[in-house]
Amino acid sequence: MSSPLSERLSGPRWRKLRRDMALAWGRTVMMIVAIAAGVTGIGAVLSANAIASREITRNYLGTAPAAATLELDRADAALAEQVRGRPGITDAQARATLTATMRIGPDEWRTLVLFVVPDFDDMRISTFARESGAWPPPSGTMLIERAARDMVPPGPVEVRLPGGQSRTITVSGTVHDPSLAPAWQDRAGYGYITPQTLAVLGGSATLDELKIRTEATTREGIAQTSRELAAWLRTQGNQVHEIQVPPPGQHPHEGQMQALMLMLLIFALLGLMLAAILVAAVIGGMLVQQIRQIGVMKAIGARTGQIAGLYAVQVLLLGLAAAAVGVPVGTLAGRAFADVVADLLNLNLHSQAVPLWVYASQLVAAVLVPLLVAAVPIRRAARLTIREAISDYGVRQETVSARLTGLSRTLLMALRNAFRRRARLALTLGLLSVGGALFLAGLNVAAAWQRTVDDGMAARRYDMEVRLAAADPALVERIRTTPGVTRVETWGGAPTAAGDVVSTYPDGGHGSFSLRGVPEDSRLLDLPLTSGRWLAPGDTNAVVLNSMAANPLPDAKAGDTLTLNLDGRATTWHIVGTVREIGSPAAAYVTKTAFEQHAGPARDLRIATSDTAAVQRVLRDARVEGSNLATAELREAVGGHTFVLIGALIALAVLMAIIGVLGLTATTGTSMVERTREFAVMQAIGATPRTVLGIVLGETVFVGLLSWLAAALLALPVSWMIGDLLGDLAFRAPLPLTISPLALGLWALAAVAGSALAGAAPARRAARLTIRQALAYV
Amino acid sequence: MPVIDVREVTKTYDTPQGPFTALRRVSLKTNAGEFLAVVGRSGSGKSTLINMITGIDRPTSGEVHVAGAAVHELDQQALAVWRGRNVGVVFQFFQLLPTLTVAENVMLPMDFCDTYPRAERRPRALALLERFGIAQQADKLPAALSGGQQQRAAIARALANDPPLLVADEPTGNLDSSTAIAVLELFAAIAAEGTTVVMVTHGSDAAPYITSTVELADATVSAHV
Ligand SMILES: Nc1ncnc2c1ncn2[C@@H]1O[C@H](COP(=O)(O)OP(=O)(O)OP(=O)(O)O)[C@@H](O)[C@H]1O
Ligand SMILES: [Mg+2]
Repeated sequence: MSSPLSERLSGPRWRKLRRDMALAWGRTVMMIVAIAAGVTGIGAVLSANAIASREITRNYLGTAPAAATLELDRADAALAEQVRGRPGITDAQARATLTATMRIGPDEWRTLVLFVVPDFDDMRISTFARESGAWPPPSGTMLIERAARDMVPPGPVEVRLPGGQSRTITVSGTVHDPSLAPAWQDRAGYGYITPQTLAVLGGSATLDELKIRTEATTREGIAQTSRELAAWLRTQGNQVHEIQVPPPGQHPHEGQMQALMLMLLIFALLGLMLAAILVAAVIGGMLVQQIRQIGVMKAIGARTGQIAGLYAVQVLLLGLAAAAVGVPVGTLAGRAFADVVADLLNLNLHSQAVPLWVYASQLVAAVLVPLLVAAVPIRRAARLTIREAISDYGVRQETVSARLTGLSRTLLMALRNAFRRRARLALTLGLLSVGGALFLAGLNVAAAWQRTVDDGMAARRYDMEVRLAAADPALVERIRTTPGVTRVETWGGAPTAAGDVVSTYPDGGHGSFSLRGVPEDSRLLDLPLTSGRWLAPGDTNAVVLNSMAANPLPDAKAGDTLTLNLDGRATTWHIVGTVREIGSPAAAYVTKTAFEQHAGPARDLRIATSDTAAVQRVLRDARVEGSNLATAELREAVGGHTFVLIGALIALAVLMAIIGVLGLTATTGTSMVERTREFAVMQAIGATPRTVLGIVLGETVFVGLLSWLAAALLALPVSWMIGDLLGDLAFRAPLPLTISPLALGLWALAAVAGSALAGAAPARRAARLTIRQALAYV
Repeated sequence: MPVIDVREVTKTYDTPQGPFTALRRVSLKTNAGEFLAVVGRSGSGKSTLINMITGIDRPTSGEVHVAGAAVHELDQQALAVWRGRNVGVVFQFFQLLPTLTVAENVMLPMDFCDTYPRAERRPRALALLERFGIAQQADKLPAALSGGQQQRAAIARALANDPPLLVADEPTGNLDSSTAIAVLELFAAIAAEGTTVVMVTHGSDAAPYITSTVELADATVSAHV
């Protein structure tokens, strides 16, 4: 017993459909592969994004992050208990955070952010999960964040508090703290200790931070609650130095991750479009071959809708086949990519579940998009009248005009062929060029990114940053005379905010905004201006903003006035310019003189040296408190933030190239079938199969070269647009338009080799056909 | 009532050299069971007239009534439905679909027009092929058949929906004379059963089989016997 549907689908027209598809299996497979590739791309990006977005939020919120952190003189459990009763506050706990340094090599020190927790068994805010080791960590030991495991040497580790001497403690275990940007990316270690251990390290065991959770959930609401709390705390005799309200519920790298996903999604969508156009082109070619058959079917009673339905079902079947391949592969790829992202962001994936809508979109992408695009040629073919489809009127007309003009019939035929093929040539070129352009754009943007990072690092003409507890001219002199050192400058640096609330995350780096006083004769900073001018000697209230600072401030542009909060006091500045600075949080640059007027003595050293170790030794001998950051480490940190992105870009670029070459193969195949008769005629009048092969190869390689040129040109605006979007999301400044010569070379190779391959197979098949077979070809 | 009633039909084509009239006020009546031959020199308008009757093309003016329908008034959709059930078309170059077997080709009109119950379609196709002496070829692809066999298959396909009218434009043009005669005999037999047959022909071989002839010359009917 067969069901009505299967019976219906066994009708002669469906049998024709199946046999036609089987006959053109090469092109059928190619179309399926192209759509499947497009769907895989979409599926991979959408599912990775769905998983990663869900899990990043789950991980972050799982730590019960503080809505706000208030920096006080001193805080304790009793104060926290009182604060808990204040309006709008749902919970409060006292903590401390210190930025220390730890020794990771004979003369290598690295930042170690120490989180001091009074009660490991009663953490309600900014929590972290135990992974190994005793809980709480015994006095004289610390737990470290698991992502810092590889950074911290095994055994005892030397730690130096700001203003203190180095002491040795041991690492007793690891924790997982997904509220922080991963340690390895930021080249900083995260340690978790009790107040007792802090005392062992030589610090005072007093806590000075209040972490609160609020009823308000918006940043503005939280800021308001915090302000009111700060006012009350001041009435109680506490000093409030800073209120930190990071973007609520948002992991420090969430924005970056979204930027990456958005860009990947754009690429994937373009890839799908490309695949859909390829399908439309191939189906269009098939329809041209079948025009006479369409006319016959209509003459024996087929309605326009039935003809259109027949070919629409063909596209539908291709889409379903592609979905059958693309959806599982896309899901697998998406899960793998989510794994990578989780690893990079130090997340635990609680679930790899892909939401239903992602599967649905993939199915829609596989089936609907090719159908919509192919609807154009299908409609055109199905609506041809019988007379148009089967009349041989045109041929007669040609005979007449040939007689009239005295032109030979063969010449006319050749001219007509050339004309007919021009549309196909344009299509083939278009497909290959767009595929190539996206490939080039992917690699161009990767190169632009690398260049931006390199230029950004080059703009920092110093190799080390050291923050002293107090100005120390004698030490500066000693460093200046250290072998390898070419220049030392003393800069000012102080946290600031465009309002009375800062956006800094608990690690102290992400989201921070600082005021930097640059010596008037500085030779260690050369940031490219994006508007206005740089500071001039004698500027008293002029400020230059870097990209991170300029962008989020509404309407901040040269000529505006800017109010900056410095340790509770409002100061007024005049914006004179903006600069591009890569790898730095938001910063406002002022002259050192102006800085010292408003924010006290400058005490940040910037050192240009070829021997950082020697400087480290001087610092250690001087028992200088202070952290330091080598530019080389920053470069690694920035690289760590970006290599995933570049890898993903390159992967997508390759996918585009594949679809482009498939497009060439498909359209070449189609036009070869269309021209079978022409080749047969050529052979009938004396051409050898080798000549035919030569002609075809010549043509396709020519198309390949032409497309290379078109792709190179088209890649420019595409690279520019993607660079603009990406740069803005990542650095708050567009990426410079960069052309990757390597990419141009690779694409030239792919286009020529691909087109030669695309032409060779059908040409060889055409040449092998006997003349009789070819002429009988319908 | 005549099966074909063409009244004062004029057909003018727009050509790059200006309007060209292929039919000028042509009228024609044909009754059920007639076997009508349309003759005339090349370019006299034979195919144009046939296209008016099948609704493949529209008259510039005049009326075309065929098998009870005002063909000149039908839209494309209605025309397709009407044609599928009322007109069988046979082409000079057979035009069997190359990827369908002979039997499937014959079943195709029944499939498109949903005329016979699904289960009856193949038996009916086989019966038609049997009648035309090519039942042996039913499950072969058209390319494996001789020209005469292909034309007989095409005629079987034209009759699949049992239309009252069969139209053929130079059906024997591509056949040798003995095969052509076999096809003409077939048409005569079909006409004898009551199906009207209209055939464009060049040759005079048809004379013994036809019941009437329309001769076209310079876009008008020059003789109707
Ligand atoms: N679509 C068209 N556009 C312009 N002129 C046309 C068109 N179709 C036919 N004609 C012209 O109309 C005239 C009649 O053409 P038709 O095809 O009816 O002739 P025919 O009698 O069938 O000729 P043949 O015996 O060669 O098939 C011819 O002169 C032809 O050139
Ligand atoms: Mg004709």
